[in-house]
Amino acid sequence: MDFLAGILMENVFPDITFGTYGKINTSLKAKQEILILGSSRAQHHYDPDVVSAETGMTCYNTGLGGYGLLYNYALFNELIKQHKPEVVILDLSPNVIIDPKTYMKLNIFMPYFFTYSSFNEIVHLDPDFSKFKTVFKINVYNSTFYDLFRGIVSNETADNGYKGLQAQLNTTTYIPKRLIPEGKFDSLKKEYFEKIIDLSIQREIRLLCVVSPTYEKFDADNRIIDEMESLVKSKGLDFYDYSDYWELYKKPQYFKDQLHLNDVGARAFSKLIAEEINNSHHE
Amino acid sequence: MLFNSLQFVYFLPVVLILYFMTPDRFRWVVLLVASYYFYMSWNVNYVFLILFTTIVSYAAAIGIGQSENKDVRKALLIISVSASLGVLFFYKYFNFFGSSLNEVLSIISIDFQVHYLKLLLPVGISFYTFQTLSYTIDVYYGKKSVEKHFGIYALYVSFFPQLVAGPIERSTRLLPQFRQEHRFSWDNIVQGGKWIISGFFMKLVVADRVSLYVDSVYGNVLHHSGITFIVATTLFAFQIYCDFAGYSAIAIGVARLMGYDLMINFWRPYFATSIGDFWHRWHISLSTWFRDYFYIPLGGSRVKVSRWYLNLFLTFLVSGLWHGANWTFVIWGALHGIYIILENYFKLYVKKDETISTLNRLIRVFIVFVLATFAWIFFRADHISHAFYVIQNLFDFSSFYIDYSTFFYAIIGLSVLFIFDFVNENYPDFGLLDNRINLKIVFIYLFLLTITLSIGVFNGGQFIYFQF
Repeated sequence: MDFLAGILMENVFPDITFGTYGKINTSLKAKQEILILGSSRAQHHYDPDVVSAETGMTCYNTGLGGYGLLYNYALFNELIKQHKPEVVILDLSPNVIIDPKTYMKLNIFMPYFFTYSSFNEIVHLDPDFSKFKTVFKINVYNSTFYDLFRGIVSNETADNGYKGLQAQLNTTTYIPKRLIPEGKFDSLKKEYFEKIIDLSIQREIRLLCVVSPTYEKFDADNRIIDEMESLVKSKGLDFYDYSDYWELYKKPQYFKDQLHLNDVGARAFSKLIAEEINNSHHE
Repeated sequence: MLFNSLQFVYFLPVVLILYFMTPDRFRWVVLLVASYYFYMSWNVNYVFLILFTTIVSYAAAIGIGQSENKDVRKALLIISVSASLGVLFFYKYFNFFGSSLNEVLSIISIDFQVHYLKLLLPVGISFYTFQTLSYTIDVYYGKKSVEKHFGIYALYVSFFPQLVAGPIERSTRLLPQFRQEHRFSWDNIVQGGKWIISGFFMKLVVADRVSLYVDSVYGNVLHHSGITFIVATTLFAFQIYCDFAGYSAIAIGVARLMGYDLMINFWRPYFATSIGDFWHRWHISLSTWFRDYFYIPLGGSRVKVSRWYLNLFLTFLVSGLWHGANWTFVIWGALHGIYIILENYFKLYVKKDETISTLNRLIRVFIVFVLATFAWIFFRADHISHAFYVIQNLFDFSSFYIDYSTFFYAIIGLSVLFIFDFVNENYPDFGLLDNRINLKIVFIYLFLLTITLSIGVFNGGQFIYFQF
């Protein structure tokens, strides 16, 4: 029963187009010239339509809420095995980088455990991972049926990966989220960050490491950003820190909350980053 | 160590192998070591408390058994009960009563503060304390002979399947089983396996799934309203049932694998036709404990009607407090006390020899479910003010928070649960939970296992009743 269910899911699963798994499946098949990697800030900050219009290149946003560098590495490594993008934008979020809970969430990639070696590698980093969980095929696809069901029922087609946020930050109820002052850029995440950089250098893919705008940032954010910057520069790449970019910083009309631009802010920022791509292209 | 942890997946087979490889007369050693290891895996320091309670109740019972002097026997009983309840009170209720007293003192402007103590509630303390109390009281009243073997008595207090969340076993039932010979039996494996699979289904597929919605609503009550509260509270009714009954089922199943017979703790409570019937089906080991060691000593129903009602009310009030050191639990208990008094006053229960129509039964089941679910608001709310906020906004239908994914899986889980419980309730000879096995049963349990593996929540939280 489990064997048959496993074969069925192996065949059906890659066609899921809805929800988180739909996003990952579409990202794994992306063939665009510009690809955006990152977490929720990437997903909400880069509109591929704006980037494409400004650069004349096709673009897809693979950003996925809550999943940072480990997921970015697995996806990037699998993507470039079948397609070489012109430009990759890696959005870096200090909050995701220091969040220890990101390791706990890695079991979400279990359905890719047997088919993609890079996902297999990162699933092993989940402290709750055990080979016992892979004994039953049906358990590997645990809780994926809703996305499958919705994909069939709604018949949704793949979009460009961007999710614009419509609300505007309310300054009267705003409470800033501060990074934990002693929070660290942990060594494992740093290792995977370096792996992404090294892969892009080996495959001669133009990698732009970007910190996109925040409404407000604190000393701990700066410390993490400085660490990332020195790492990127040591590899001979440029680092783009827009975390306090003057046109957007502390301007509530461009933000949904402290860490996320709204649709208006995202379009403005996407234009800016497209100009950056054009400039670096001409250099 | 949780039943739904990988640690337990390795722990149980090792214990079973060692248990069946060891000669009968030494098996208590294997179980005692396993039980203490199981308990210490939470916090090594907890072991001193359980050891203290075990030694005090063991020594008191020995003294009670040996003494002919009535006063000495009584004194020993009081010492044992006070020591056990003292530990429970200190760890579970000190801060609660302290903060309540502080509030009262500040209202009447008395400048005195009971200091808050940083105490970590030892897992399962309410369960094993009640188990030791029942033993000492039974010995005192001559219902149980004294257990002279300290190791076997310590095992009775700490038997790992039911140590941290029950069922609260009686010494008259469990202690003799440690002296019986238990041979490996496929019947036990089949029956134990059925209980374990059904328990995991309840916990992982229903309880942990619906908790995703319930926690997000009750964790932010001020952001929600009417329909959301009704849906979240209804789901909580199933969460608490499946969480606790699921744990009990796994405990019964694990004990059964080794040949031990633990008492059934839940008997499909949401099929109850009256509140009294509900309490004959819900947490049976605790209800019968309170009946035997609190309600009956108060006089039970063999007193004046007004005193009988008071006895009922006090029993439910204390039962509420047993569940947690918070006024929300006290109100929950009080509500059930009021329900049961009204039910008895208006004679709304179904008499034992009375047959009722299906429609009458359905209406009764619905009303009991609504009343029990209303009381769950207090049980789930983090604070009394939150519970009242939920009640005040119960009929404000301005918005509805929908979590499609959770609802999708919850509907599947609840549908399977309903069919399972319905068959068990109405077709007891079907063989769902006994030691019979046939093609139908194999198919049903493979189906339950598949559902659990495919939509169960495997990174969910611990069992709710551990905190009690």
